[in-house]
Amino acid sequence: MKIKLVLLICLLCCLSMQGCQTSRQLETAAVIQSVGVSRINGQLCYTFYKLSSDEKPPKTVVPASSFEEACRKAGVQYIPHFSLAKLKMLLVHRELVNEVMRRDMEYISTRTYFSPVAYVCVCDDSALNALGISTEEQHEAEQQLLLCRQRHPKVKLSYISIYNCMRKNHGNVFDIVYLSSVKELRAEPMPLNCG
Amino acid sequence: MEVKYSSRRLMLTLMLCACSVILLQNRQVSPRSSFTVNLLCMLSGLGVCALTLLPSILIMRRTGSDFLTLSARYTPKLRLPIAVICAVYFEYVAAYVLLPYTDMFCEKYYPGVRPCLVGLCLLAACIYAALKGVRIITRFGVFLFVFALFTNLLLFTGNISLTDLSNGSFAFSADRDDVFGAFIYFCTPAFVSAIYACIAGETHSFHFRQPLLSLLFTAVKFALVMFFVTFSLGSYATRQDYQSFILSRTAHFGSFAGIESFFIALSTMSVFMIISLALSCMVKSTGKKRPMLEIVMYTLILFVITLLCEFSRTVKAFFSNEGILLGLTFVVAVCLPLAYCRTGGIRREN
Repeated sequence: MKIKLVLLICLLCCLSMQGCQTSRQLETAAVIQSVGVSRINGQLCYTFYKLSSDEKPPKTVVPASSFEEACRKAGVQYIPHFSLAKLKMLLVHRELVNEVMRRDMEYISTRTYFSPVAYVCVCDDSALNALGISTEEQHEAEQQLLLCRQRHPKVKLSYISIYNCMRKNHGNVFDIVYLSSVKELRAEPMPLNCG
Repeated sequence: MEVKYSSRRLMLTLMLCACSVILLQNRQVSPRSSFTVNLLCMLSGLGVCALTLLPSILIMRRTGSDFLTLSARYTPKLRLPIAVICAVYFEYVAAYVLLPYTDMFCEKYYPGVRPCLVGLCLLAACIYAALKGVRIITRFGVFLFVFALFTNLLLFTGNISLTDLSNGSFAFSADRDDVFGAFIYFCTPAFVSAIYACIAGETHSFHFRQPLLSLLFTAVKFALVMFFVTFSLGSYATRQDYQSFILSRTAHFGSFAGIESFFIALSTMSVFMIISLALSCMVKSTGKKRPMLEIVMYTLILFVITLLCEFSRTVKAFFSNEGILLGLTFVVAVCLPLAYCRTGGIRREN
């Protein structure tokens, strides 16, 4: 009887210590699949596209001066319980490369939850808009990025390879992927000066 | 009569225990030093590990036994002090591997969960394994070896596409403090010598090439992990904790990316085996036939240590100190077996 009582107390202690009180339930979690960085009405905005079975991916536009601020604001004001662990693509508008790329890449490198093999690419207005239209377009964009890397093996596509190039080639040029959409989505190499 | 098992099985198990050190690596290998310098540090560290194995091997060759058995047979009055030394040492070893494991689990794999809870779950399994004995644990080692081969294959082949030799350097460039830190870190697998010193007597068919092969495999694994951390992760590795774990995140095959679950499973099983073996060694030093109470007691102490480390950085720093571990290892793996080297008769072959 005494042993059972001790075991019961131990079990209760364990249950109170498991740390699941703050856990995220799958149905309430917002899994972010891709993030677009663009300027909307002159304001720098980060658009978070959520993983969904809907035809049109649900998106949340967060005005912020950096990705760090956008993540903080998104968690507090816009998308509670959001998760960036499954982030597949970070798309930066062509005009914002010099402004945000290095700073945001540095921030991501310090966070544990970002996947180092997520794709980072530059894109134009129409490509960014196309991604917001349907989930199909997002899959298509992913395929185009992979095809581009196959055709041009030297092009840097994953976050980790771009970050490493930025760190070691200070002032030098390397190729990243540029995603455009005039009639259809198309990916091609684009030189990036990381100075 | 005691049933003995193959020495090869024990060596395989100890090799997996030694390999777990690199799985839990967290900034101990400096990225400022070049790959070649770190490789040399690793080889010298493992050389020291080989030296710490020698006294136990000598006893094994001479008497076919281990120092704990000899001490129980020839110096029964010293049983208590030896049991105390072993208890302190193996508690330290168990805490030394458990703390980075729970840390890595809670920081990288499942953020939000309490480290002490992860520790508690693992310790519960260790109690069971320690009760079953070393023979069963080493049998589990055979299964783990296959799993480790599979995971390592995925880990390394999945990172080949990211490998870029310009990410690191082969030149001899290093900071003196970093080199010393890396050398000390690579000496820490010597705790397997202490485990071997305590349980070697339960094995048969020992051959000198077994420890050499174990250390060789360990060296190859360490070198491969260091190579991929340096040349695949590059500068990114310097920004993150637990660089070996990051390798499992970057491993990818086409659109399939990340083998964190395999990595965590391998780390879990390796740490489980080390703690179970440590508990078995502690119990053996007490000489008890029915060791349930002792095992539970030792595990409770370990759990209290885990709990304390969650709240106190000083306690955590104490139990993560490579210097203390190596000092204690020197006592248990070298001094005590050396003291019994000349004791006992000549080995009688069965």
